[in-house]
Amino acid sequence: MKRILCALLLCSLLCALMPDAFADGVQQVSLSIPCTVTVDVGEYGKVYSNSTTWIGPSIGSFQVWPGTRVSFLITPDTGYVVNVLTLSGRDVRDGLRYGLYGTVIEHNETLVVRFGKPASPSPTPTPSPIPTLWPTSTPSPWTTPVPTTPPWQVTPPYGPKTGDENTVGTWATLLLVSAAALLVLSRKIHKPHTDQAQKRN
Amino acid sequence: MKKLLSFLLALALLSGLSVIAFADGESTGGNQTVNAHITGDPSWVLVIPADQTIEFMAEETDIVHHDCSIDNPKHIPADCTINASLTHTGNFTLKTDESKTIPFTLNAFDADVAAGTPVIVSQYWSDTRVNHCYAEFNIVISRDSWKSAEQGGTYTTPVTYTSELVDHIVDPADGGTDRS
Repeated sequence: MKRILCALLLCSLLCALMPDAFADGVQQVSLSIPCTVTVDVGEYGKVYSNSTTWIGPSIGSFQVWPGTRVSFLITPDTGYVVNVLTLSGRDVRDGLRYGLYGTVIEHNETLVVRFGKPASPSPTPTPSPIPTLWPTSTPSPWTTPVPTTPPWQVTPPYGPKTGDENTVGTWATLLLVSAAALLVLSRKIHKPHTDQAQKRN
Repeated sequence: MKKLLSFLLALALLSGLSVIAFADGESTGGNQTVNAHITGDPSWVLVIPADQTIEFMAEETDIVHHDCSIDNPKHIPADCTINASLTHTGNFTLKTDESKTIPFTLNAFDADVAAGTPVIVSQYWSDTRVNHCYAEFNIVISRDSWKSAEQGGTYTTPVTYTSELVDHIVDPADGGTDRS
């Protein structure tokens, strides 16, 4: 037993004293490849970035070094709004402020912009908006202000307010009344004919 | 007697199992240092090159610049060598997508060093007490490799430096054979 213990003791001591020390360190070597930013613009608007304007419909691209912040000024034509704004497939419409969208480019990206007519006005918008021609917002840092017009607001070129804006309801009511009147009249006209036919039979 | 032996055995086992070496490093823009501490007398400081950026389309870049050294060796036994070696992975990897890579080769002592194979960059010989820093270690990226990068972005590769104390003299110029 003592011999085994002594042998184990010797082995352990040898292991502890063996000069197998080491030290590690890591050097990071890096390189950069320019990133390609592709801009795909649909019709009814234009996109401005990197000293280039893309007038929709068009597709173009430019290159930046990784880590560069790129801003896009997106301007729909009058009467249109930005319907789709994706960056490499991700919906980034939430990042759009006063027509400006900015992001840091770390790899190749594709920006897709699509414009469309604003959504039809909702029947009971809550809270009810105060109709104004232009939204009261802090001015954009760009020279060309791009208003973000809510769909219920009236925008140029519909002209100044004349009090005739709310005619849809009036016309719809008149149309309904006319239709009802026509229905009643047509029944009265057709009824005698059917009575005569019954008498003949 | 048994108790004494058991105590000694436990002590020896503890010392044997304790961390006999560890490394800590820091990078402050200049070279990085890695301290080797050994339970016992021998100790040294491994200095490794600072992180580096390769210029766009550069085909050959020296990544060591004689900046790897073994400093402040203490109590190194006679006829021993402290070897500092580097290993590389052979590929730069895109930070945002690890599947995108750019291959490279490492050229040292006028030969290509395979990925994962250690190559000695610096030595300390205890018999002469001289610290040797060896020739250029070039990362070679061919023009075709640069052009093959399908994805833009920042690519990185780790170059790992290891130092160890060996109980004989090794000359890397002789293919790592024993010099003594």
